[in-house]
Amino acid sequence: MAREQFQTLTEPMFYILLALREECCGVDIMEKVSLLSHGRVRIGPGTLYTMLQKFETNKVISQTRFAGRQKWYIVTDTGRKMLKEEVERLRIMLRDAGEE
Amino acid sequence: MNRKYKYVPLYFNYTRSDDFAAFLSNMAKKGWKLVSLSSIMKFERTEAADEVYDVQVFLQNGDLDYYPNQYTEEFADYCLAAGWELVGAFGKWTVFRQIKPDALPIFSNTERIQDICRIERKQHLTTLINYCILFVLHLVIAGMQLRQWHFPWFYGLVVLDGIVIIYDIVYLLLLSHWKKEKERELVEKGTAIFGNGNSKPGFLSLTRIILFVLLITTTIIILMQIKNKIL
Repeated sequence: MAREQFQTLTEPMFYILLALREECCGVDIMEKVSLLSHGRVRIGPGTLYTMLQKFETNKVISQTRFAGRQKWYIVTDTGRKMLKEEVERLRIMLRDAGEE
Repeated sequence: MNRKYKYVPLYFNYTRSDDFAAFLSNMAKKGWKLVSLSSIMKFERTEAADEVYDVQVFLQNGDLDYYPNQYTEEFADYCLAAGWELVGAFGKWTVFRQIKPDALPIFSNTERIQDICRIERKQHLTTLINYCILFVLHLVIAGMQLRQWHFPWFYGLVVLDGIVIIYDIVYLLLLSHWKKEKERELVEKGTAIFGNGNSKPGFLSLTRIILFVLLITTTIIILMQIKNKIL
């Protein structure tokens, strides 16, 4: 299910998963993505909130703890595999572009 | 007269969320601050201020919710961290006030187009299905009465159902066209405007005016029929 829906990760999806390789509070992901991408990628709060819910429903990420309305998440094994496959796909694309 | 509060009906539909936001900013400039959001918006007299509003459709707020639900509050926490303070939620509407100058856009335009279409389509399809059922029921009753009873207003009800069905079909077709237009605008200009630049409330779309006129006309005809029958 997750595989089909997230076959190719969009840029925001990729960076959200990248940010969640370590446990992180949902609200702080926006800041972390900005840091990881050196300010190039900025994810809006609505996009992030919707994406986290989709990822959690599809077991790509899981909730680790909560305090009040704040929730912490981490990427699951499925998510890590997806991230690895995406990196590999991008690597192949870069290699192919370099060969032209 | 120096009123403390002002009440304005919410006439914007979901496809005009940018117009709605512009209207709220204009009201703030005139010294009216939004204090509560519902089908009738309440504004309080304050100092004139330059405030930026953002109006979004949030699918997880219930159609009949007058207040932010649990999901809306969670969503609002994310928005607050990004520089938007929740002012109110009503139905699928969520209204935010900008509190940081570099606040990030809440949703991307692509997401906004999808969400607006999803909610508008759902609402009009529900009405369409309901009225199709009513249309068949009224038609059956109207057919039966030819032989047994005589209640002419049932024919009127069939016409009323038909008008609503046609209205919903036209609306859904227009919505599909609107979606294509917005997607084209996004590709060509890199951004999309959700509205027609008219920030005044009370604006009714052409389809709504036609529906309103037809419903009033049919109701008058039905009432006249009933009156004639009684007299």
